[in-house]
Amino acid sequence: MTYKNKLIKQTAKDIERLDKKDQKPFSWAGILVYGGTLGLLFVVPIVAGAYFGRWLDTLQTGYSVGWTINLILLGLGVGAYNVLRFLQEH
Amino acid sequence: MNCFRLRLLDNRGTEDFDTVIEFIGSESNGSFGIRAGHIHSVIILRYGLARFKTHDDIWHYLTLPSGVLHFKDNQLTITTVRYFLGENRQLICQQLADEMNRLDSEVHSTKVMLTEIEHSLVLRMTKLAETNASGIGS
Repeated sequence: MTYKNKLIKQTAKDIERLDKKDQKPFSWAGILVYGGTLGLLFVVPIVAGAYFGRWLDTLQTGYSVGWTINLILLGLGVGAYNVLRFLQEH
Repeated sequence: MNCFRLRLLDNRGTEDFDTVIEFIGSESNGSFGIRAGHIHSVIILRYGLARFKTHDDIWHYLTLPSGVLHFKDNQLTITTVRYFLGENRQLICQQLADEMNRLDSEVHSTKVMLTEIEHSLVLRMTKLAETNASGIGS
């Protein structure tokens, strides 16, 4: 096989492979991983904020939920930003 | 977004792409991807298709008869004998065949021209030899 034919044949094969890959529907495992990642990215900062805020509130004298609420809200913002970045990149 | 520079080198010269986001190529063991900040690498590319995405989200398709890929300091250099570049992968095979046929025809016409030059040179030398021979004899 000449260099020319070999190159054309291999390129056609690669293009066919790419086309097949593009047409392939999403698998359940893929959806699960993607969704799971999105969920974790969103939830982890909120839960971490809640725990950290609760701990800070226990250090305060008297009853306080200020830190908990504020850090949950901050976690919500960070989670939403994480999800946005992830969706933009993938 | 993190970008790197791509330099394509072949027997025609150099072509640069300054804002490449991702490069996907193939070697003998399979496909691989390169993004900005990749470690220093040298890879032998196999025959066939490679592709890269620029910052404007356009995929460029590159077909080459193997080559050497070198990535260092956020610069990717691909050295090959000849490469063909296109943005539509459905048309690239046809473009490649057309380009190769054009090159073949150029090589063929150059060969024909050289043969013609050679023939006229031989003819001229024969004539000169004949003229010289008759000149000496007379």
